[in-house]
Amino acid sequence: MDIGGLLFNITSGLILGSIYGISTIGLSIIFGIMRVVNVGHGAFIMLGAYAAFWLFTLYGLIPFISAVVSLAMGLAIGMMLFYIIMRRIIRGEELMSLIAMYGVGVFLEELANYLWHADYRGYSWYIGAIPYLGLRIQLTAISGAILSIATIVSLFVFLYRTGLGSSLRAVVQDPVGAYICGIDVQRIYALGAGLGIGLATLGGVLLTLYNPTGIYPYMGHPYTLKAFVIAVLGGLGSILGAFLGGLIFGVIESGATYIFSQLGSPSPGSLALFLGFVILILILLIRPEGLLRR
Amino acid sequence: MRLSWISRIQIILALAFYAILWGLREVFPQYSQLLTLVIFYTALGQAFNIFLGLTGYVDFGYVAFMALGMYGGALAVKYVASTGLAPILALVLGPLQSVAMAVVVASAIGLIALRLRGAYFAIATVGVNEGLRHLIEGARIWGGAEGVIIPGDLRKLFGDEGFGYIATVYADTMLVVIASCAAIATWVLKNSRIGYGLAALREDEDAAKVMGVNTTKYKIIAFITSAAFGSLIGSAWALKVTTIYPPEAFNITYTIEAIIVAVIGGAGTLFGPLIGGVLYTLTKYYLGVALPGLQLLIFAPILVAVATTFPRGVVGSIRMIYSRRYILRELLR
Amino acid sequence: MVVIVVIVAIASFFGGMYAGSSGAPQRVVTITATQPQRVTIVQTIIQTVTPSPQITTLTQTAPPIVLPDKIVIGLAVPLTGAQADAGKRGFWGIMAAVKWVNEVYGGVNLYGRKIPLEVRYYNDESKKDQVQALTERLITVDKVHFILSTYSSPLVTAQAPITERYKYVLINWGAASDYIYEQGYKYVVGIFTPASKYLVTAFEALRSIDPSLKNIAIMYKDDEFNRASGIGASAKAKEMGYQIVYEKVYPADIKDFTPYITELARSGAEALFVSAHYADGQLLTKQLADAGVNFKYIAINVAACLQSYYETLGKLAEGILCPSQWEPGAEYSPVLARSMGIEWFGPATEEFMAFFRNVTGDPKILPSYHSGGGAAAVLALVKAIETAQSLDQDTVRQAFNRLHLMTFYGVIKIDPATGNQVGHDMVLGQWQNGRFVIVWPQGAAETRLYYPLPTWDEKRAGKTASY
Repeated sequence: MDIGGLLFNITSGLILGSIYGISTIGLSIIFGIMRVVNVGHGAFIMLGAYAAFWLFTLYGLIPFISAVVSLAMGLAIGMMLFYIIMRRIIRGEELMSLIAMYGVGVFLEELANYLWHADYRGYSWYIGAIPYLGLRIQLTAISGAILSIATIVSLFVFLYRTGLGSSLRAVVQDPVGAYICGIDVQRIYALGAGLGIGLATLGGVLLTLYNPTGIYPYMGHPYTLKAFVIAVLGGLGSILGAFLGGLIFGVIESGATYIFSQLGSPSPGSLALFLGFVILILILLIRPEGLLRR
Repeated sequence: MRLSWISRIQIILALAFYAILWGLREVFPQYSQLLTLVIFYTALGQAFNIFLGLTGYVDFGYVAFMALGMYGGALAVKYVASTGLAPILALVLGPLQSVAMAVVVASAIGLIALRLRGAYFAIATVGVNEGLRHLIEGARIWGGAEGVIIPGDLRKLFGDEGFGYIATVYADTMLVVIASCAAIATWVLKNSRIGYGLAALREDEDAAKVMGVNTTKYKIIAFITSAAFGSLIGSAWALKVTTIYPPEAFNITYTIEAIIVAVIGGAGTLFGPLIGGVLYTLTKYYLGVALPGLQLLIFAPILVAVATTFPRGVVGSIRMIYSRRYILRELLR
Repeated sequence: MVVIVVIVAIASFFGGMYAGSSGAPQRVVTITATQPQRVTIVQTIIQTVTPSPQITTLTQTAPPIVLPDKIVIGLAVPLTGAQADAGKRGFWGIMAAVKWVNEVYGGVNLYGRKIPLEVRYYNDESKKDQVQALTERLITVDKVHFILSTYSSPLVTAQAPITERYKYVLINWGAASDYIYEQGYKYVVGIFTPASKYLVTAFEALRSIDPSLKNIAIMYKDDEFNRASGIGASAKAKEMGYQIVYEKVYPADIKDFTPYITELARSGAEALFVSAHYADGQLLTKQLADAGVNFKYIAINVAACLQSYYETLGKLAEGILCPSQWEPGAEYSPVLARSMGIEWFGPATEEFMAFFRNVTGDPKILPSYHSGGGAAAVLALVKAIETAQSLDQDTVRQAFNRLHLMTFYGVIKIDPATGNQVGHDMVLGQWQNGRFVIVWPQGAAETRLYYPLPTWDEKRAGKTASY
């Protein structure tokens, strides 16, 4: 077993995992606040990836700027979605909201297919690499991880140091109580939705910092599945939990693949994913609410 | 068992519906595959509804049972073809194997995952589904990602004509029979003690437990029944598509479609999946005929609109509108 | 507040639309697409191609009592979903070929009349259940004359039982899997070279240019097609005496190749052969470059043949090889056909490109091998109908067995026993200075293979893989 190789994979797993985590926080927030399962989550990640792609190739804007733009865009789209759709379905059956969000996801994918075609796009942004354990890690990947951490920190600052953030937390804990305290619950819901979607699109941009290839309308599906698993792993509604879950998942994905491969398995990747899901089930058995309860 | 005359009419209507669908195939043979598509989705929704409708739990990894059923059916064909047993055994062993696998896996999941609630249960089942898929691919079980391919074996067992017949008429008939049985099972369960207990569970699980309802046992019964029917559908489906690959067989989209069919129609009602299946399939199909390539772009907003306008599904909404009319309300239960 | 939100959302939407219509990125990628200045040659091609009245009529051809106004081709094709990219490209190729047949060739020659083609198509959303229902509809409701397959092995295998049941010929341009032809289908004929042969040309080319290279690595995606291709490659490599120091399979939706790359770096392999599809092919290349793992020779099938590969990776794609069913640079021509003693049929490559541009309406979209395959399917069908002088499925199926012709796509010859394609060869292309040129086999090559591959750093510094 090559320890250097294992360390390298764990490191890259952490980097990728932090990006997974940020993408998933949005899912967790939307569920935590409104009990809406955003099955169309992957479509928003796709939008973020396309935003990064178009802004880079058409205007030369570096992904850091695209990140801010897509966050704003996601915020707006999320709030719009709330007012148009989510507001009606929150009161109804939980499954209806699932179906509605699925429909939204499909619509976005088909729209992307219609406008931008199904070509597999990508862009190349090279800002150097640092040698590490005999190989190299790209600075773009590292910056992606740094941005993820910065996002989480900002999120916490927002939630715990600002009035708006406190209102958000209040609504999550007790909507009725918050209402009595004079908080405009609907506005906060909208903000929550916006934040959730915005973080998903931001996640899409960060994803391209790690992997700026293979961007096409239906790229979001595997991310949706992963996001669900990570969100539940970390505890639905818990922001830090989602981030932690992402890190764990990333490390398992990369590390286990490497270990299985070194042990001689011809298809180590599938076995690693299998392991990941087994661990998920085990964790749910031990801590049914996820790692970090809400 | 409460078997009011309304309940009896209910099941007769449901079975009549399937009989009509089946009959339409004879009258319009050129639409046989379209009708089969309707039957497939209706059956899927019906089987899924057994668990969803009765308990309110969402088994997001439901497609795993269908996939296991597909493997069961296909592997039986392969086995019989390679060992030279009587060809008819392939058609008998298939469903039996499928159900056996589903029951085993469902029992295992049931014991483990049914302790979880709500979204956690849903995602745990996703974990099982994806885990199974990756296990099959990673450990190269049943051919791994190369899949199971049976057209050649079917041809060897049944000849050219027989192969065509099985892949179309026989498999379609099997689907109708399964759907009808699923409807009957739903009806029986709903009207039995189990259904009564599950209704209480749906409203408030803890209260039901306190009142002495054996929630765990009832949940597992519903879960296993639903899984068994799902696998039977898979078994029939294997004969139609004749190739089984893990990523397609375990595709989560089937679960979402099952949810759509069951919930848009009206979860928990007997007729819900029937209406949902018909609406879903035909709308998508005719949109596709009218505007090839754009059907999903148009269908998705329609789906969203329906979901937001009928929060309790079509049947459920009708029940709410006509809540004063006892007979109608009970009939659509 | 709401107003602002709505405005931003609408602005995003229009931004997206604008982005989409601007189309390709500003980095201009020049791929061989010479203007059809040689109009005269095009004309002579038409002359030589007009069918001489020595059509061999087969036995048992009763002349159809009523000749239809149009011969309708039925097509269920994925225009959305996972196969949308390939499906659309194939669709455009088919439409371009149909246009050529109708406008230049004049129509299918049947009993002295020239009957135009028409295409009736549906979108099967890349889903098996839709494929079955729509194929049946084409046969029973729309009553098309012939069926062209959908795209991708799983979908075509779902389509086959339906066409067999109705005893319709299924002209398969969408599934390269070998096993379809092992299932005993009577009515399936294939256009694509089967999967197991995909990477063979890459090995042959390497052996001829560097006989001393011994250590190779093989990687392939874990799905039916890539497995067939990868295992075929593995077998060929062993047969040719190569030392496979690394051979791994990766999962379909892979998002990170790092574990594999860490091992590749230490494996000692000098050449890398990959059977991949689009997204994973791009990702692997990018991550190899990121990690700085160099090879003398890299061949990636499917992914690296598309123009989007170079648009995404830029200079990093230089020198990468890709075996392809067909590329616009392939030098199949009537002259070559004559020298090989094979009949030529169909448009010349430039002519096809012109019709393709016409069909897509966007000169920036170039045909891929899916387009070539789809068009070849149409051309093969036309030839088969003319040979059979009938629209009867069985007779035309027999006629396919007798086809031996060359099109711009290459040679088409069907194995009578299974319907498999046995005449067509893969070509090996390489990205040289922004152009995807054919480098192997010698007969079809436009230029020399560039070897060895520049390192990733050299490529980043601007080095191109051209002499």
